[in-house]
Amino acid sequence: MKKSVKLMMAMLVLAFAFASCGGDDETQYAEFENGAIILNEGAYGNSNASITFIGYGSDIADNQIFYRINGRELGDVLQHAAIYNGKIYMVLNNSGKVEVASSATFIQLQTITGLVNPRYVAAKDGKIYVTQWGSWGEQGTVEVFDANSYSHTNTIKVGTGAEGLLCTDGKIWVANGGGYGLDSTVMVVDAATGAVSDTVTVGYNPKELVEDASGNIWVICSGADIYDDSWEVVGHLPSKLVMIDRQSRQVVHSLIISNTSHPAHIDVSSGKETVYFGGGFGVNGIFSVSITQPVIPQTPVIDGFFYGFNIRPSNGDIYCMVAPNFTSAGELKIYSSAGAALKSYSVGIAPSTALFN
Amino acid sequence: MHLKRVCSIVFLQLVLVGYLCAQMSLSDTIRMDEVKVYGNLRESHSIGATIYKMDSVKLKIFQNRSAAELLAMGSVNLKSYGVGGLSSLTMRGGNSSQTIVVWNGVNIQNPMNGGANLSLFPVNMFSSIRLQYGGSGTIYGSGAISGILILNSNALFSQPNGGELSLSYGSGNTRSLSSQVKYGDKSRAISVKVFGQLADNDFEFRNIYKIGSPKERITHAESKQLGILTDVNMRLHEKLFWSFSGWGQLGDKNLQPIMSSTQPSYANQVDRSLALVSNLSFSPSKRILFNLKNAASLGAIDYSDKGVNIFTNNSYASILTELESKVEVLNNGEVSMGINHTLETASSDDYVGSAKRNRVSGYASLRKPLFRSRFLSVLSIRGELVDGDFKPVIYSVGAEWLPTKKLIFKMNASKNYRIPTLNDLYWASTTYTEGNPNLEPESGWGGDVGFQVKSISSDRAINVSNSLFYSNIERWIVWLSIPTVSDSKWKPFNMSKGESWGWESQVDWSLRVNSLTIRVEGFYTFTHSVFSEQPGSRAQPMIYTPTHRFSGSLNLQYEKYGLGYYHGFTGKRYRDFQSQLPAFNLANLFISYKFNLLGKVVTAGLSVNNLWNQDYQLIAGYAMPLRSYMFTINIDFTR
Repeated sequence: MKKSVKLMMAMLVLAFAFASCGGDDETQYAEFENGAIILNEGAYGNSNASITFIGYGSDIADNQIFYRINGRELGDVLQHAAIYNGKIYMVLNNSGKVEVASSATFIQLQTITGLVNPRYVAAKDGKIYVTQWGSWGEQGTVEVFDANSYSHTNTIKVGTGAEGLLCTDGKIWVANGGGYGLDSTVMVVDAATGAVSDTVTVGYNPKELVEDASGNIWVICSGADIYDDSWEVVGHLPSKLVMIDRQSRQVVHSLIISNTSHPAHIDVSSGKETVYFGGGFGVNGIFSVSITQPVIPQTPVIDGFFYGFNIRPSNGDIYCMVAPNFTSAGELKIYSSAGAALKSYSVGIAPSTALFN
Repeated sequence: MHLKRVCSIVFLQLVLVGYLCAQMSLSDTIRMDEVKVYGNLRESHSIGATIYKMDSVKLKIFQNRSAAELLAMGSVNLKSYGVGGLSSLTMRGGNSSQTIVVWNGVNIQNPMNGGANLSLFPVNMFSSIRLQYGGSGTIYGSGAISGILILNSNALFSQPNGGELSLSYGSGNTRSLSSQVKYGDKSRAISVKVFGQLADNDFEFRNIYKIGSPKERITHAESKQLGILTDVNMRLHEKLFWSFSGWGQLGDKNLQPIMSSTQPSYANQVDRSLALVSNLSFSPSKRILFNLKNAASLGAIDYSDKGVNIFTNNSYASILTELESKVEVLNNGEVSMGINHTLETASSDDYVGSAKRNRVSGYASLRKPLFRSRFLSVLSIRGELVDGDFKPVIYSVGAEWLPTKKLIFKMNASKNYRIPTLNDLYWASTTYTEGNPNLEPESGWGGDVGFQVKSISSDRAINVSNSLFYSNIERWIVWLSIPTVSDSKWKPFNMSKGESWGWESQVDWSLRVNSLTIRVEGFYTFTHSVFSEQPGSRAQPMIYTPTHRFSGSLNLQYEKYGLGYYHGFTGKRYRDFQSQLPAFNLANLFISYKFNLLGKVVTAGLSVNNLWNQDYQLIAGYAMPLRSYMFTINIDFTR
């Protein structure tokens, strides 16, 4: 009996010894300027969005910097972010919030709440603009906040499923991406009054917009799959690349990209003379067109399935994000503007966007 | 449709009962042991396996709570989407669908997703809760790659007539009622158990997704539950015994939003389930026993979320017919054999048409003691035909060697598989998701080796056991979305493999001194588990599998007073490939006082849950309550 008790005690001690093994990671602080900030969406419903920092020229990807600096997770689905006046505004789609942090240190500053399905963010002239879908059946809106006090100042009703937005020349250009359904318009909002001044019909489900060297607006329209009652795909609405004259608000070019592929992203070269588009769910390749003689090419500049991409403005390098799935590490691949592979890094789950600080 | 079939089966059994009664001689003196009905036939073939049995005191203390809350304090790893939310258990690094849930000998997992929501299993419905670790449950069926949760009713004849009423009120405006009544004699008995609960579940928690981790209250988590279970035992003849169990459960629950969300939540789920088991046992001689079992497990799950316009209705049914026999052979040996047909059907707004699957299986198990019962061995094999396709034969072998009365060496090894769920196969192709009809069954093998030291005397007992285990699962089914291919919908794939090994250590010590009874229990698990998504890819840690897990309890009973302290330590767990949830200690304290009131024994109890006020999550992002309280009063009407 005594032996049994001794044996039991020994095992309990051993069990506790095992239980106390392992230490916490050391906290490290770093400056996050002069590098790329990669937004990792995380998996929907898992609240595991994260930020990766990669200094220009560095071989090291610094993952999970928001968590490490602030001791808390960002939230669920990091859809988009923007850097403005030393702050980064991060849109957490399924958390219905925007997290604000210093873009240099990533120390948390504020959480903007009260949003429903927020998507993209842009900032200009002391205001923060956030597009949101709203709940099912609701019209999309642009929610306006003061960049200093973070107070909500206006709600601007736009089209269905408001997505990407662009602030230029006192106007807010909003792509009405269709949300749960369909839309095919871009709206122009007067930044001073918040009134919609123009509605431009483009292709189906416009997602993102950029401004080229001539000041014209380019829109990537994803198109859509058409389903029957059994959810079988029975057709497609084509994807398009559309150029809008910024002054006249007229569509100058409307180029069909594909009848079956639905690219979702667009960016411009460092000189803003070449427009790049492609990437998104199940889309192969990043393509480019000249802004002066736009023709949809047959072959991509970069071959591969990328969940998102962005162009580094200072040198034109193309940062392509690979999401092998929504559970494993993603990958950042950097290419030259001509499409030559330069570097690659292991990043967080489902990387989608790169910002340049 | 299913109800008609069940009624027909019950009717046929009654006809058969009448026929057999007429055929038997009244001079036979062999009396059926009704205890066999509730699974002992199978339990005696679990030689060499690691088994953990919840003690009766624990079951009593948690009687007004769910099995999820009980198991969270136990020896397994529990995953839960918040208080009262979908809860499932995992063992030895497997996922929840690799642990089967058996009630009175019947697998009651939902065939649509392979799960069983333990938050809808009131503890008072079960007389016995056991956990069998590893894949050695061949005799219970395929699919138990990681282990089995075994829930049983008690045989009624040995129970006193009477009843019990228990009322609880606690934090989160939780109001619970449980009651049970048993009436009968030595040949006929019926028991009815009822459970009802209304809860706001607005417990305090610390929101770690917000700046400063403020204290908040859980919102949109209100729940209603109602359950009724009846057991009927009838000794129809000295050689013929019939038992019936019926269990209906209703749950209506608002689903609490993830902690990081600041958006309003509208999600709601209504669960309805009905399980029926009829078992007719016939023992023509001391050495032979036949069981004819008919069972049905029916369920409906309606999910709605007006915020995103999702309204889905799902229903399922598993209809089982089984004939099994136990025959004594080879000088104290025992052969158990059975043949089983299970029809699984499901209907869902997310399916194209209805899913239907026929499973026919046969098993044989030989249990043989050797060397004057100093060596016990078992060999079990099972073959299965699923919709006409032969699946690989599964088997388990186990052995126990008793060199002394106090020492047992154990081992077992097994090969198992799990066929895909109906969701895996039949989910319709929608915008974002799609089933995969080409999935292969998961295949697993593993084993244990260990020893047990036990010493029992009139006033004290000690039981210490240790085992090392290894488990390997190939073709693991995982739902993934792969944006790098043109068909990038969420769909299930047979990924490469999962592998885990570890150590389980169990201690149980009790002592009785005059009116004082002391019981100390501890269970420690070390688990190292990794998962490879693709052949040759880097192994990742298995998510939600803690390396270290410890549960322990101290129970003191002194005359009218009772005290129980339950402590669970869960180590860090990966919630994805790069992030870990922190370790936590979860402790519950119970005090009780027993007194007489109007001739009835009344027990008043107070429980403090999460005594150390720990922040913890069982699934990342889903808040669990800080310290909370519950007051219970229990009235015993037993004669």
